[in-house]
This record gives sequence, C-alpha cells and structure tokens, in this order.
Amino acid sequence: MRTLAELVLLRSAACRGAEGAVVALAAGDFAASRAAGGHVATCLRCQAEVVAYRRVMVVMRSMRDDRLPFGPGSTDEAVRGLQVVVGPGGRSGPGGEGAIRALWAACVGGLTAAGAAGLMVWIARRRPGLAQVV
Amino acid sequence: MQTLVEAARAGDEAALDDLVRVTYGGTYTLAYRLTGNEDDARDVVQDAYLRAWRGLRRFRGDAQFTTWLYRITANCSANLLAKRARHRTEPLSDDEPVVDHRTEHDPERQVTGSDERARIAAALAQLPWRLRQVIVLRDIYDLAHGAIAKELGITEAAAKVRLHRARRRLRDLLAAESTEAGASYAALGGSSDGLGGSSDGLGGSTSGSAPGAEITVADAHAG
Repeated sequence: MRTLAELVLLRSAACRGAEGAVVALAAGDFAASRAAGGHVATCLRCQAEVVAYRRVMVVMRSMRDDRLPFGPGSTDEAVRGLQVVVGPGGRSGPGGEGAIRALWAACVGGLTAAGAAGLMVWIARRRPGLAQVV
Repeated sequence: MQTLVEAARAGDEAALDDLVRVTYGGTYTLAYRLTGNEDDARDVVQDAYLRAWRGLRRFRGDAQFTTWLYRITANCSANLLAKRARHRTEPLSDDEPVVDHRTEHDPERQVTGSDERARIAAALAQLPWRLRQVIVLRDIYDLAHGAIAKELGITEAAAKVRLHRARRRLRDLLAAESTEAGASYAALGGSSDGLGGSSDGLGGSTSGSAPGAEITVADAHAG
C-alpha cells in the first residue's frame, strides 16, 4: 500500500510525463498526444492545462492582424531602397535580374571567344607551318 | 491588393510603392516578432521587399500575396539570425533571447493594450530564436509545416519537433510568469490554481505551493 505522499509524487510525475500531450492536445495534434493522452483523460489538472493552452492559441491566432508601431519614415525608407533597384538606372521590371545575368554571360562569352581567337593567332605566328594550315 | 500586385508585376513603379506602403505594417510586425528588435526588423523588411520584387514574376497568385511575402520575410529573418549566430565571437547560448524587456519600449504592449496578449507576446519574445520562429510562423501566421521548414532551411520533421518544444516552453514561461506576478495563467483558463498547473510545487518547479495545497491537489486527483 502506497502512502499519500508517494501517490502525490506518482501523480505529479504522471502529469509531468503528460506535459507534451497537454500542448499537443490543445493544438489539436491528437496523434502526437496518443501516448500520454490516457493520463490527461483522467486528470483534472491536465485537462485544465489543455483548456488554458487552447485559450493561449486562440489569442495567438488573433495576433496575426496586429500591426506594431514602426518608426516614422520607415515606409519611405523601404520605398527608397526599392527605387534604387527599380527606378532609373535600375532594372526595368520585376525579375529583370535575369536580363542582367544574360548580359553578363554574353560579355563573359564574348571575351572568352576573343581570347581563344587571339591565342590561336599567337600560336599560328609562332609556328609558321601551322599558320599555313590556319 | 491584387490589382496592385498585377500592376507591380507589369513594372508599374507607383503600384510597387503603394504595395510596400499597404503591406509594410504587417511585414514589419512579423519581422519584429521573429528578430526581437527594431533595427533587425527594418533590415529584414528591406531585404524581404527586394527579394519579393526580384521574385514577383514567379508569384503565381495561388496564395495570398501577404502569405507569400511573409514566407520571404521568414526566410530573410532566418538567414540574418543564422548568420549572426555563426559570427558570434562570444560563446553565447542560443537560449539567450535578444529582446528589449523595457515595458515602455515594448511595441507589443503598446499595440495590444491587453495584458493577456502582451503577456503572451512577452513570453514569445523570451523564447530562443529558433523556437520562436516556428511558433510565430505556425501559431500566429498559420503557415504550413512544409512552408516553415522550407523557409527556415530545415526538415519538416525538425520543424514539428521545434514547434512542439516551443509550445511546451511557452506554456512553462506563461505558467512561471503568472505565478510570479500573481496574475494567472488561470485567468487565461489555466491551472495555476488549486488544481495546479505543472508549475506548482508538485508537477513542476516554479511555484511555492504550501503543503496544504499539495493535499488538495492529491484530493483533486483522487477523483
């Protein structure tokens, strides 16, 4: 026969073991809470925790529409930052970075081709026999 | 909003400016909640808008524009915080929150005006940033697990594990805070009362329940 103190300790340990199940149940994640769910079903304390956390989650969901105050001029600053990229001297349209990349690739390709041609001419001049072939 | 998005996609700069002005508040709020301070939030927002502009042609419109923008903001925020964590020279723990605890500087308290919401916001701010990211994105902004995992650069399983840990930690913080303040997690429907949450002397470690209360708890459980 266990003493009352032992029972209290056992019960609190069971509640601690069910902490994960409490938040999982509150979040509607019944699969995750299956293991310890049995304890919660019989424990008023844990059931109260489930209700409490459910309430917390409802409040959190409503916080999506909050708008925190931001410094004066922050919006203008963001707009100016975009205009540096988008405006005159920037790209001509959204996603225009692809065009810049294409231009850059064309430049690199052209320089590589010119270098290769120059190299062939240089080799040809050093080897007269090859020059006749070329 | 849809009209502005279409016009901005077509290269209309005025529409883009308007789009920024319309969405700035929400984007900044998310960035602040993820980073925990105003300077970082502004940097994240700026980065997010630039990336949104670059990817605007890829936005197919099958999701809300704000949700798409929030995903980009989450990604920018994760990059910033991860980069900062990598470059830290002092051995600071991930568990150390970078938040300003002064009430007069707490935008959440200024905007909500509600103790209940402010208390939750304060508890969220105390979470380690890796945990805070997932719980904010999932439980406030309702992003799917897969989307959260993708934007944070982790697996979906890892995102779920972090979310579970975050919820448990948040619950502990709220219980501890209500015990200290004499206010109550019970006021939120919670159990720091006679039935006791796990934050009392029996189930947890943060309160100082009297021995008599323990017997009450035992009695309550006996049912």
